Amino acid sequence: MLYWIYVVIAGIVLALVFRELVRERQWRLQLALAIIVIPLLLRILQVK
Amino acid sequence: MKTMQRHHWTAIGFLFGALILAGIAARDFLRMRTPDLIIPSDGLSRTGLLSEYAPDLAGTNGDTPYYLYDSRNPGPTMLVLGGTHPNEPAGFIATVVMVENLRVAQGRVFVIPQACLSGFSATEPLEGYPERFSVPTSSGERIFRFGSRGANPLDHWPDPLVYLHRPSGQQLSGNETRNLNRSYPGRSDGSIMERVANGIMRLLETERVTLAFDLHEAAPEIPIINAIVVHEKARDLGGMAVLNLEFEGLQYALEISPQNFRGLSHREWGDGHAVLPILMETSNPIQGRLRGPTDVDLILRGVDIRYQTALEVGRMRISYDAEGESLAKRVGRHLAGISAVVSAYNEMYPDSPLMLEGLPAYTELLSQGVGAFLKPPPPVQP
Repeated sequence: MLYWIYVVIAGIVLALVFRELVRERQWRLQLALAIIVIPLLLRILQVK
Repeated sequence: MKTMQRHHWTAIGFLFGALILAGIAARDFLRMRTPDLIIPSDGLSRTGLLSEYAPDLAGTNGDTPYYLYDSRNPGPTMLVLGGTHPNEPAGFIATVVMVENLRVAQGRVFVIPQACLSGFSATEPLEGYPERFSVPTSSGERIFRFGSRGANPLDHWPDPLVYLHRPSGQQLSGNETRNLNRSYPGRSDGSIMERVANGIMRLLETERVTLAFDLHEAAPEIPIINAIVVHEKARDLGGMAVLNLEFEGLQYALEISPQNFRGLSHREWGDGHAVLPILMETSNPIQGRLRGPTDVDLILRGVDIRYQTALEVGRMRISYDAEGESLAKRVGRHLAGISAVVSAYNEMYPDSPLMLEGLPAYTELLSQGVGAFLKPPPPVQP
């Protein structure tokens, strides 16, 4: 059960990061946010 | 309707780039789930899954294959585990060499080459380990995975801050939750490693196993290297084996399993069942803190300039051969250790011996390499 709670938390964090990525106007910060997407996505998809 | 602004286009571009990188990484991670090829010898009686002894394991990444060699002549039953820690390749490869060469003339032998099967699907974070290594054979290369010390976090996440061992109540660092060799005797409804541990305990009990081995490796600076660790009831057996090995020119330290360090195979197997448990360690530079480039060559040849320097300086106690700690040598030590213990057992119990055939000798492994005792891979279909 705790496992799936953590997956849901990762999903919420991914959604927040995605929202910031779209709103952010500085490209360097957008790049940093895009990099953060990678591990969150891999964990939510149960790949890593 | 809002119009797309410049920062929206850059966001889409960066997101697209991130998805491409995630896809490349995902391909590598998913490739680590491809099972390793193991080609049993003609002496194999049957193969099966650990879930036959612990049904709760069925369908999980802990349900690992076992290989049974049954002579059909009355005698003792032996179990050999490799891959308890998938980043210790000599234990895994020693059991693969057993599976591919073993014949049993009297008694029975169970071999589990990948005790922590889940750990073979991921590498250890921040260690820079290669994901796989290849061993040349007479016709082509055999490729094997190099995994992590514990189970894949996908099979147990998150780790607790403190790992509470059951039933003793012993407390260890949280990541030890995923360590099979801290999980014995295990539980049928516990973590994935506790369930694997429970399956192995059930196998020991159901099959009335007499002798059981757990093959490991450790960094050259760890004190228990080139050692045979035994439960106190196997003290005489271990002592005789160490003497037999000395006659062959192989030095092993005999260590007695500490009674207050719980969860380990050499403690819980012996406390829980009538089995004589034995754990063996070899010196593996790729696990060491002094190591340099962490690549396949370090797995196979075991040569590291930093350990050579440490050996020359002599300011720390390490078990490192100046010519390197090759995989052939480490596998040879494990197989020589098993043979010596079996010989000692047969001396102690001559009325019911265990007779093994087909295993390569230590000197053969050193001179011909591990690949000479692995079956060539099947030809790739066009």
